[in-house]
Amino acid sequence: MTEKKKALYPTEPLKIWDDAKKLRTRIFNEYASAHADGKLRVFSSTSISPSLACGFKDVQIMGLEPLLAQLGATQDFALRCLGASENYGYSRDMCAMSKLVWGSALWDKFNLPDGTILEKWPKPDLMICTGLSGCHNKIMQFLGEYTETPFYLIDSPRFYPYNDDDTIDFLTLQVLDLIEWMEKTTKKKFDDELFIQGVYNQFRNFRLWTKIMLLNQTIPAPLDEKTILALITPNVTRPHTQEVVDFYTRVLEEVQDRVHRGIAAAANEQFRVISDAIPPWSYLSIWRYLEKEYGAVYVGSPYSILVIGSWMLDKEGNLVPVPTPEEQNWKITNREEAIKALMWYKSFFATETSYTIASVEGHHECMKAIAKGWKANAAILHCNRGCPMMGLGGVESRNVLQAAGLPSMIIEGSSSDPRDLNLVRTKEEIDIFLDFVGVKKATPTKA
Amino acid sequence: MLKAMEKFSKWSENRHEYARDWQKRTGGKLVGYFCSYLPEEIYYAANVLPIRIFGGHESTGLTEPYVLSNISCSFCRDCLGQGLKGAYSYLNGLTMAQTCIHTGSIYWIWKNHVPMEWSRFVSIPLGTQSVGRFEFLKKEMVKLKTSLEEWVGRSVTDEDLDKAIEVYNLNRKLCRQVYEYRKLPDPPITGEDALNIVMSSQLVDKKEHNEALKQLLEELPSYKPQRETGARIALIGSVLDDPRFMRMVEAELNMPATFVTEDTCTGLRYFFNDVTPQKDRFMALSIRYNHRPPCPIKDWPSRRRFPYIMNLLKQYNAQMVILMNQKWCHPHIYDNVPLSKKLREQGITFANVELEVTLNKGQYKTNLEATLETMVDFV
Repeated sequence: MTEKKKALYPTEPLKIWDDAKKLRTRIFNEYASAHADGKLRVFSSTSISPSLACGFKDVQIMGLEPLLAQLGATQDFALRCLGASENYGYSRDMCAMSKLVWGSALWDKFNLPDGTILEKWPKPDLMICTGLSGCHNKIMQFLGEYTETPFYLIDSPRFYPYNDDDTIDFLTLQVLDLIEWMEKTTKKKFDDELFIQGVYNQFRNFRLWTKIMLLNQTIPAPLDEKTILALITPNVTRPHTQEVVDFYTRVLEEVQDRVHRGIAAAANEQFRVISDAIPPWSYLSIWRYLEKEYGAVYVGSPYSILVIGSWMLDKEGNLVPVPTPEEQNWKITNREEAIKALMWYKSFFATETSYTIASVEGHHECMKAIAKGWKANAAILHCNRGCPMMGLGGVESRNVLQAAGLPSMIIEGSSSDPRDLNLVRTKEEIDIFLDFVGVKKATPTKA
Repeated sequence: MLKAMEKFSKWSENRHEYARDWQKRTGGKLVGYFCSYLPEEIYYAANVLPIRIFGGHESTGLTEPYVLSNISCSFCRDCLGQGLKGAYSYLNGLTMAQTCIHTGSIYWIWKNHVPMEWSRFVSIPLGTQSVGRFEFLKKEMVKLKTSLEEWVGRSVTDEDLDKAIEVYNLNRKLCRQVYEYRKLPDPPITGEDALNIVMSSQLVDKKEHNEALKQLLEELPSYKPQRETGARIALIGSVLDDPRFMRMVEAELNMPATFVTEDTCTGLRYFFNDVTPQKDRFMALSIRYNHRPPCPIKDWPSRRRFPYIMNLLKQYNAQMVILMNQKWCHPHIYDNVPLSKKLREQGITFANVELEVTLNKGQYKTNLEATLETMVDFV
């Protein structure tokens, strides 16, 4: 019988949770109904691209990250999408992320957060992609060709710590060209004032996220990673809006309040762990299992911390927010200046940029900084086979952390293919690992 | 067999001996490189010999502590295995041209675990159709030159670059001349020969390679192959560094077959286009490398590769295609499905082959013999 222990910390549900869920649902619904609402529908990758179409007045943008989370989280739907791509000819060992996105279009179905399955894949008016890994642009190329959707692909050669002026200039040139292309393709006017405002909002939203994440360094953690992951959708779909600034301002205020009052995400937090890549969306129950059974709380990962914030390393190797161009009083008076400022800001550790092959050394330093800053006791790293860009670096992430003295293990799985994770075996491996590092099961009574 | 061919096969087989000997003879530095998009001319101009890293085709557990074998490209893992084993211990430096994530991952692992005097990641655009690509790559090349100069302790002059460009352009021209013979009804050059020629070109000093090519070109006009050509095959796919695969297809199947062309980076793609000299040497190089027949990872948004392949099939009168990819080679897995569709539309017979570190002959033979049998009327 499991020993009942007294709760270590007070806990309470996040007050903004219901509103966050509603906002997330609305984002998906509004994307799906964009055409009926007379709006432009844009499918975008993550990285620098979600806000690039914000110079159009009536636009609904869907980002690759929340879409993948949505498609991957429902096992049955994910398997049907993967099956559609495999039937088309793509092999079982092909990047599952690609197959998931394509599969939804090939199968001609789309699912919404409330479980509704749409009988028609919502065809975008255009697609924009930033080639983070080389694979991303190939995903969009096939999707664009198959669905006959115009697409624009951006080359992003390297990021922090190699984000020099030449990289920023190259990116800026491409985005200037993209905007002209979007105007020609949609025959709609791109409003520079609206765009500049959107860029400022993006700085504010990303900055707000860094503040929220820094608060999670507190013991006990006010947020667990499963909750954090549920909060990222607004910033990877519409980071350019005031609505999202208002949302993250509320999140920040509530998290500040939780820290002030010592409210924990998990009442029995006794052990803090970090991960590496996108989680196995179909098996987030593992995150809860750790929390419930062991009081082991996932406090973050490069994915959840960086995906909607911009960071760099200070001289001591700590992960610190990049001051926004707005905070540095950059002059932004026209389209080009706005693009340049945005490209500069996002060329640091922002979105998944730390995973790009040109930044591997930086990624390792980032892992160590997260372990230190977020006071991790161990790393249980998801080696994401569903995204080869992340998965290929998984073992070395473990090696680097292990060498730095942090007990670390890998769980093999996939963000996009439920078949790639064996839940029973994974839990057993976690049990053995936690036993090895001396963590005993901790089931709390009421706080 | 062509007498002049012996040199190329020997270089391919005994690459490490050659490299060590070159080092001893010249006192120059050797840099191992990943990806054929590397602007080798700049290294050569700095008196540094860039040699491409290939695998050893042997199973090894050496890579497992660093990368999962059930996700990482077999070619890349094989190369890393050789590095960790110490087969390339003579290298002074390590470098890579930005390409796929698999190559990138092993570059960093190698760099972290096998100490080198010098290393550099060269950010070749993936967007070789993107606006601004020429200027970006030009600047990247200038930075590379500066880094090399600091390392070797001497300046790289325009004259050095001109000489290097001349040597490399000559090599490309001679290789193309040799490949013309593959268009003949009975090609005197087999696929295995061609692979050894191109692989060795990536392994030895181009000046020596040029001399060997000249000898081969003297011998070729009068050479009558002592083998049946059979089905004319085009090999399309990932990097290939295993001449045994070519030998198996050309000499060990129950039906005759010959590789007459290929779209691989250890084939025609490597030497297809020249550097067109201009005053701005780095811009000239940038244009050449951006405009190469593309690797799938750099072939977007427009697909320039497929029309190029279709043209190759016509030019070399290929009757069948082998779509080959190294296990887990994502760039080619991405392209092979739409490419299969194109081939089907054109009525071109093709077989899919997935290569691992070691050669699974039985499986390949069954697959390829069955495919050849479907086109028996044509051979």
